Formats: sequence, structure tokens, C-alpha cells
Amino acid sequence: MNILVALDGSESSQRAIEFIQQRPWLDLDHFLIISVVEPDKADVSMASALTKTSEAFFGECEKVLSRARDSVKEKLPRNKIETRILTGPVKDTIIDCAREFNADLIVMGSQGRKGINRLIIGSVAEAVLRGAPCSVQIIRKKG
Amino acid sequence: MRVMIALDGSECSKYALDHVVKRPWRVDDLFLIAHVVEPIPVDIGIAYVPNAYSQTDGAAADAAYALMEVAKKELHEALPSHSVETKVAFGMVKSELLDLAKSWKADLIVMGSHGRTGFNRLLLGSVAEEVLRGAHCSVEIVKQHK
Repeated sequence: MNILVALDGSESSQRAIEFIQQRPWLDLDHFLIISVVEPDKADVSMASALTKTSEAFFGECEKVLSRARDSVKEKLPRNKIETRILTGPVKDTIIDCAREFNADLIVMGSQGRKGINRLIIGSVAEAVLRGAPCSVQIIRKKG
Repeated sequence: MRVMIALDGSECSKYALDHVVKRPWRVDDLFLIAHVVEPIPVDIGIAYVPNAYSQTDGAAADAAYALMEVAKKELHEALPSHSVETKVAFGMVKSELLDLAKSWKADLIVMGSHGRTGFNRLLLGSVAEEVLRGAHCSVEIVKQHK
């Protein structure tokens, strides 16, 4: 099975990684862990400021991804685990990636960093769920 | 992990069960197969007919228990050492499923992306969406691979 894990560095996406670590998987299961950098809408008048933020964000994404890969690899040493940073609108980028990767399952947190209410599923998660070509698992923090 | 599988007898919910059957599980994972029988609104536009109403509901309940037996057998054959419970609830699908998930202390709800009332394969079913929004735990929406 091809499993696409979409991370954004939020608490619920950390839970997605913990979920993968705790569950049993087949040796053949192939993981692709991604993080999507969305072009900031504020760039219209502040081109240079944006570039800096984007670069910092890329760095942050790389850290999140390599930490995630290491912790999954530790539990699942025999599985193939890749990471990728993608740019574009979050929802479409995740869905396109799922198609291209021929994902059987997308795993993601219930809300990203923009979420304000623990009870409400993130708009990104919901949009991905609607457009996904495959099964989607939304991980929610317990309690 | 406590895994609740919500079935409604549709093609899509069959995928949800197939998905569970195919995947690896831990020995201590527990399963609950759940199905909700929703009262059929036969009284719209016509006078309320108590006999017809209870008869349809009775048939729906029988069908529900039969569905649970088949599903339990299938899951038990695939995962013989796991505990599999079944539960048929009566009421509104969304609230019954959410209440059941809570009272059974589910860690994960597995369900199809749309049920018997879905008309478009591309859309996410309203029940799946409502369960996802209201669930206290993780939810896996199973879609047939396109």
C-alpha cells in the first residue's frame, strides 16, 4: 500500500506520525511524507519580504520532514520512506501528489496550524477528503 | 486500539470492511461493527400509518442484524484471534454513530465515503462528513481506489 502522510508541523500532524509509529504495517508499505509550502498571499506588494519568509518556512519544513522520517524509520526500518517538500495551494498539491504517488491512503491531522477550534475539522483536511482519489485517515487528538 | 467500523450495507461500506480485512492489525486491537437503522419517514404527505411504519422498521432491523452477521463472519474469518462485537442502533445515523463511538471509547472510526443515499461518486457523503466533524476520535474514510 502507498501511504501519503501530509504534515504541516502542527500538533495534530505530529499525532499523524505517532499513529504511523504505533500501528502495524506490512513491509511492502511505502510511505511518502510531504509538507506543502503555500505561496503567501501577502506577496503582492512585498516581494522581498515574502522570499525571506518562504525560505525560513522551507527550512522549517525540512526539519519537520527529516524528524518525521527518522522517527518513522526507527519503528519501521524495513519500509521505504521518502520525504518531499512541495509548493502550491495546499489542497490541490496534496491531491495531485496522491494521484501521482498512486496513494492508497492519505494520513493527515484533523486541523492544521490555522485551525482555531479543536472540534472543527480543518478546512484543508476536509477539502482533501472531498477531492482525494483514495481513502483518507484524519487523525484527531484523543480526548 | 478500538476500531469501530460503521456499515450501512452499501457498496461503499463494503469497501470499508474489505479495507479492514486486508490490513495488518495488532493482536490487542478490538473491533466493533456498527449499523444504524434510521426510522423511515413514510408519513410525509400521507397520514401516519402505524402498522406500515413498524413493519418497514421491523424489516429494516432484520436486514440490519443479517448484515451484521455477514460482516462479523467475514471479519472473524480474516482475523480469527480478534474480538469482534456488533451493534445495531436505532435512530438518526450521525448522532447514533457518534454516541456509540464515544460510549464504546473508539480510537478510530472506519467508514465508507458515501452510503446508500449517495448519488455521486465524487462527493463525500453527508453522513461521513458529519461523523468526521463530530467525532471525538480519528476517522478513516475509505474510498475505492480510482
